[in-house]
Amino acid sequence: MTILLAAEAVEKRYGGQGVFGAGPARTVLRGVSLSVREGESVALLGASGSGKSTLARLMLGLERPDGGTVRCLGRPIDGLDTAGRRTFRRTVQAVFQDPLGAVNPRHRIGRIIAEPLRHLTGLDAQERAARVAELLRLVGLAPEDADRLPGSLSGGQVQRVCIARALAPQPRLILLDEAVSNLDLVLQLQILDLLAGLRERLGTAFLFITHDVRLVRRFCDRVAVLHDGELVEDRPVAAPFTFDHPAARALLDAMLPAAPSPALRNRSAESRIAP
Amino acid sequence: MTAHRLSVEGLRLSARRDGRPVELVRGIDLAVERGRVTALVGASGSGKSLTCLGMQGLTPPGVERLGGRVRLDGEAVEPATLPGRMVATVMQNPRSAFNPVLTMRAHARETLAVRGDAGALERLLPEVLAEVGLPEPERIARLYPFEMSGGMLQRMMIALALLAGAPFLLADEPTTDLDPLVQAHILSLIGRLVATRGLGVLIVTHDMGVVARLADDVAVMEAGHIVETAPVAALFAAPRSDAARALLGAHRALYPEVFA
Repeated sequence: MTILLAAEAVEKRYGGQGVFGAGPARTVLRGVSLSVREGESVALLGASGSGKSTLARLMLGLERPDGGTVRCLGRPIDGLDTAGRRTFRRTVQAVFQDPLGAVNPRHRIGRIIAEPLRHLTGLDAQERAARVAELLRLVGLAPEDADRLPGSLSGGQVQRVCIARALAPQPRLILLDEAVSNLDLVLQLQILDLLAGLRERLGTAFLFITHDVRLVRRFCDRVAVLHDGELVEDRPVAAPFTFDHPAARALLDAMLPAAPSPALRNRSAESRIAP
Repeated sequence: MTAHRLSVEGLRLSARRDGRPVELVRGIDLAVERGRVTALVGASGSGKSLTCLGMQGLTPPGVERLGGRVRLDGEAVEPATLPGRMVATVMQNPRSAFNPVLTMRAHARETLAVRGDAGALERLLPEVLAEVGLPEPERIARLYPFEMSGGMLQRMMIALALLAGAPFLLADEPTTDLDPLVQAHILSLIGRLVATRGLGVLIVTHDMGVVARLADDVAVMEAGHIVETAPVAALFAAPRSDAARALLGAHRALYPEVFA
């Protein structure tokens, strides 16, 4: 299977300068390698501050690694020419957590979704409008919503607009960085089911960055865990779902319960505060 | 501080959309009792957060209160007098609840001043910081909000609630944006305060996992109405409303090994 996107031993350090003067540089990623193949759905799990979003930004070419390489279809994304960048953008699309920050509030929904179609495809205006209507239906919105402004939609609806925009150029890989975590669970499942359907029909691959272990078990076939800037797990999702590394196990242990139980609510047992 | 039951009756809130009033909360009765956790659940837009605000007499800009009476132990009270002394709040985005130019110590002093007890700051602050799991009180007291993580700020919100001595805590999606480790700590902290301090908690959430973890009673909202109330075990065992069935259906899909 073709490797669509790969981070190879990437390093990232931040710091040196700040509001309160130069501080020590902080290493955020240490020699991290992660690849996503055609049609694969890979989860990237980790607590906050583990480096998940930094890795995502490196893999999207939004920031440069201090060491190592990111490759798209085998070519390093650093130093791509114009045609190469176009191929990269057509191959990999992304959806982020904050939907309202990711759209121009003055542009109508139709224009927002058509944006990648204008830049990355040869569709004419009429074909673009037809594709926008199709995409809106696909994410559970109405074709008439194309004429609305983002401000008149709810956060969840704008998030679906962002997903429609990512789907627009038919990318081979979509990176979702906590892209559904601010939707309610019913909506999260609807969207993830929809994406799973696309994966089945079109073979679209996903890199799914989340802190919800429960979603990983349902939607991914491989899971990688970042802890303190290092990749501590990279394994298939299989039953029983377990990890070896203590930090990864801690994430699993913290998973919310499936059902209420008197033992859980026996609050006298909760006399200990975790640090 | 003797109140045991905070309740609201016939709460109705409306907003204007395209110049016409739309009723978002349509006559809600809801109660929170000391020593218990009531969960208010529902899909986005069902009116959960507005109800939570309405219980403390607050309405966001553009929202009008059409009706509703807040009672403490059955006695009608002016809801605007509740925030602070009677009712403390924890929200999804704790950062917006802090004044960016004040340290944690200054926030704590302000909270105690409302209670008329600013003199107790040096004695009480280390105590509540330890209670919510924020070690090194001297260091924490000097921090500004931007120097703290979301989880630390959420703990600080709870510490301020304890300083205020409010018997009721309204928590609107308090753990939704937090990672699972921090989420587990916050939920267990709230549970412990219910047990040790007899705090009465209303927790607004869309996650039935949070409900299973923490709640004693559940109220299910849909389109501005409460469509079902039940003890937590009964709701999970036999939901009666479509809204509860939809929430539980999505929840169970996440636990394939339990509900295969």
